[in-house]
Amino acid sequence: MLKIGIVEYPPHLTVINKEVKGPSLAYIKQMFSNHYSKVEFIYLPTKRAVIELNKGRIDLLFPLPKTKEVSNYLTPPLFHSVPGLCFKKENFIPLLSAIERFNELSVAIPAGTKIPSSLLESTATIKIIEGKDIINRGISLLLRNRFTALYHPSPIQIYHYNNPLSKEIACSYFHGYSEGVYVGVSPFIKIKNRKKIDKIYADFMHNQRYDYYFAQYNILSDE
Amino acid sequence: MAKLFKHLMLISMMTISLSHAENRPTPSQEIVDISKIYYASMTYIFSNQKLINATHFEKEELFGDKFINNLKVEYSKKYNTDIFPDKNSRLVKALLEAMVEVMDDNKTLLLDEDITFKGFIPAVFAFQISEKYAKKGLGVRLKFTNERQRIRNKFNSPDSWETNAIKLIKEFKLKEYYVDNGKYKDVRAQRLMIPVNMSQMCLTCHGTPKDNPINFNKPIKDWTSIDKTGFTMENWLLSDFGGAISVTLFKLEELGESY
Repeated sequence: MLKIGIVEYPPHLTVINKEVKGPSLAYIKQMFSNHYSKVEFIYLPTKRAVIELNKGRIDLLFPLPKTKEVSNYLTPPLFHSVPGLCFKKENFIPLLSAIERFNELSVAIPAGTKIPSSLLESTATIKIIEGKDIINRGISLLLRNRFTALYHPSPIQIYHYNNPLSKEIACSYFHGYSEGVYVGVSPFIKIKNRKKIDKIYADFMHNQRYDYYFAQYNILSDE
Repeated sequence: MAKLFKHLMLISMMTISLSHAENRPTPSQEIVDISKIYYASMTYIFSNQKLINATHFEKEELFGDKFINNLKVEYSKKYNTDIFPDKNSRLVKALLEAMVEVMDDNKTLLLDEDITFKGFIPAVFAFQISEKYAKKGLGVRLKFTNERQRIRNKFNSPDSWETNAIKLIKEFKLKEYYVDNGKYKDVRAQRLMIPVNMSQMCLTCHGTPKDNPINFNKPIKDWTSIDKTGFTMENWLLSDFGGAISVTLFKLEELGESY
């Protein structure tokens, strides 16, 4: 039996009306279902999920950006997230390498996030926002014109055509600054089982990478 | 005397140019295919800016198999052939998949009803393809680059081999420059570079203010030298060097790189 923790990470994994779904869940299900008698998926809030993984109460956890609280991951990453800036549409800047356009920009950055060097080197005014539920608060402040852009570590989570918010905001990306999003592994998993998981993961990824599966999944869902 | 010197110089340059053509190894079909598909895809993005920037939803042509079919048509026109490279080749297959993935990554922007300039220009598309392709763990790198001083995005900067290859391509007007025993980050690599032609479309951003569509139908005194993407225009001309596509093949295990 394999116990897999899952955390919300739209559009790869979404929770709507307590229903958990998304291409990453479908992909991982397909990956392991033929190799274990039972695969159980357990939806958890992120902080709790990391604790459960480290205590060995779940074997795997995804989708998970690298964090110092988790020491083991399956490689390569399941996918990559690209950071970016979100704007009200009238202020949209499509190319974030055009830093000359940052002159009159005030950018809110959630406390503790890693910022691309090109943003730091620009003349944009940086405002750090702190507290709970920072991203949602940031979006609400953006819509009230408290700043002109909101830094997001993975804007696809909010600027997605399935999200009604995409009617009001638009985001662009700091390409070149992507980071891996992984499947985390419990430190208590037995070596034999770890080897089995590594092989299943590598073989499955070799046959069809998740990025392509994700694109195909979206095309099929839209038809 | 000056005339004689000029003649001698010309003869010497022609000799070097011929020796380049005669002594150079021939690139493998796979590496040529990759560079040509990449170039054709940029041309497709180039010629479909109207569709890309439209604010309607009828854009199925830009996604999935339809995109690949359109790319094949573009390839056929560009290279005057009905034969598309082997889709079952590991590198070709992965490149086509990367293209579908990039188009899907940009779907929300491309379908945005309010944004009239999406910024999804060939250079942006090309960079995203390079990034995706590099992460597939196949020991291949693909880049649309130029001379260092002509680069807008630092991630597209040429490395020393590419700098030298561009110099040779410009100097001897080569159609390609290839080495089978080159280096990439200190490991053995096959490296190919092909020049990209400057076109009128490139000049809408990189040309003179006269080429800038923002300035059309405006008096000269109101012209701007900032292009629609937010960069200062470089005053390039049609006769200038338009950049180059660089393809690098190497053994991933030699580089010891995780992906």
